[in-house]
Amino acid sequence: MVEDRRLSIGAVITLTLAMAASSVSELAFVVSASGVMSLHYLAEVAILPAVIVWLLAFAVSGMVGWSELTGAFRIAVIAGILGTIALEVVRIVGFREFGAMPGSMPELLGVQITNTFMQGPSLYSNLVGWGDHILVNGSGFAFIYIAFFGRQRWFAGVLYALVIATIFMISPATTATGAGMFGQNFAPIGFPLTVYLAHIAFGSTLGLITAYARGTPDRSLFLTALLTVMNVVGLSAPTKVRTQTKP
Amino acid sequence: MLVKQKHSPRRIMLTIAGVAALGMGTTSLAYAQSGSGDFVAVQSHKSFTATVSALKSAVAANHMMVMGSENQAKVLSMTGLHLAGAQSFLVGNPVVGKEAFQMNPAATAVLPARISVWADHGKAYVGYLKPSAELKAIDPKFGMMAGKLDMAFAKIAHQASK
Repeated sequence: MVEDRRLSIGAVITLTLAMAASSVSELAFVVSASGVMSLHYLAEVAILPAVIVWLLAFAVSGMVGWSELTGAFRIAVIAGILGTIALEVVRIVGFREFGAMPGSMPELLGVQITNTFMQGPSLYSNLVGWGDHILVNGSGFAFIYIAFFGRQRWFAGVLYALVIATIFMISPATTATGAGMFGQNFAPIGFPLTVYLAHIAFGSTLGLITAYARGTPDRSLFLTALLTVMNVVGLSAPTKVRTQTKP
Repeated sequence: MLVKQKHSPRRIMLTIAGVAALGMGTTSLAYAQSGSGDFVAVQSHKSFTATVSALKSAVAANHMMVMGSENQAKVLSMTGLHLAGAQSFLVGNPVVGKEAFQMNPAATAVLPARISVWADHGKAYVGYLKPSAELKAIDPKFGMMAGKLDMAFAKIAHQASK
C-alpha cells in the first residue's frame, strides 16, 4: 500500500502561520529589552495578533481534521503550561531563597505589557505577565519544538531548553537588567545555575510529555511541510512511502 | 538613617528655623548631599499612605499638579526587595513649565520637579531636592522662578506631613 506522507497545502500554510505566531512573544521580549520598541506597543501590534492567529490555526486544524497538526497544538498547550510551571518552581526557589535572579520575569513582563512599570505590579499586570509567560511563551516554545522535532526521546526536550536558556542569558533580556551575560555581574554561579536548572525542568517536562503523549506527531511537521512545498514546486520526488499492510 | 549623612549644624538650624517660620510644627531635616544642603526632608506625623494622600491634596492646593508618579516600593518588589513605602511624584504646573521651557529648553532635565514620600523605621518622610538648586545648575536665569518653586515645595511638604 502506498501512503501519501505529504501535508495538504492548507495544513502547510496553517503550520507556517502557527510556527511564526509561536515565536512572536519570545522575540518581542528580546526586542523590547534591546530598547527598539516598548513591550506595550509590541503587545498591541504583534503579540496579541499572533495569539489570535495561533488560536485560529488551532481551531481550523480541528475543524478541517488535520489530526497531526491538531495533536501538535493540543500537546503544545499541555506541555507548555506544565513545563513552564516546572521551570517557575526552580526559578522561584533560586530567586527567593538564593537571590540568584535579578527579578521576577513574569511580573516584569506584566508591567511592561500593561505599560505600568512606574506603578509597579498589580493583580492585572501580574495576570497579564504570568499569562504571557505560561500560556503564550510556554505553549509557543513547546509548539515550535513539536513542529520541528515531532516525537523524540525525552532528553531532546532538555537539549532544546538548554539552547533557549543559553540564548536568554546572552540576550538583552538578561543584559538589560544589569546582570551581564550569563549573570556575570550579578551572581556568576547562581544565575546561570538557576537558569539552566529551570530550563532543564522545562525541557524534561516537555520532552517526557511529547515522548509519551498519544497526540504527538511521530514526525517533524516542519520537515514534512518543507518536503511538501518542494514537491509541489517540483524540487523533489513525491513524498510517498510504501507501507506494509497486515494480511 | 536620617543623620548618617554629613551635614552642617548651621544648615540644619537654618532649615528648622525656616520651616518653623512657616508655622509648620513638623520635624524637618536638611540632608547635605555632597555638602550642598539642598536636600530637604520633613518627617510626617501621618502614616506613609496618609502622607501620600495628603501630598496629592497639597500639590493641588498649591496650584500645581502631579504629572507622573513612580511607586518605587512596588517596582522594587519585583527584585525581591520589600520596602515599607517609597513613592515619587513629578510635580509642576503648565504655566511655570511653559515659562521655564521658553527661557531654556534644558529645563527638561529637572522639570517637572520630583518630590518623594518614603517610610523608614515606621515613620514617613516627605523629601525633595530644592528646585532652585537643580534649576540654577542649568541656568542662573531660573533664579526667581526657582525661588517660588522652593517656597511652593516647602508648603507642599509641610501640608502633606502635618
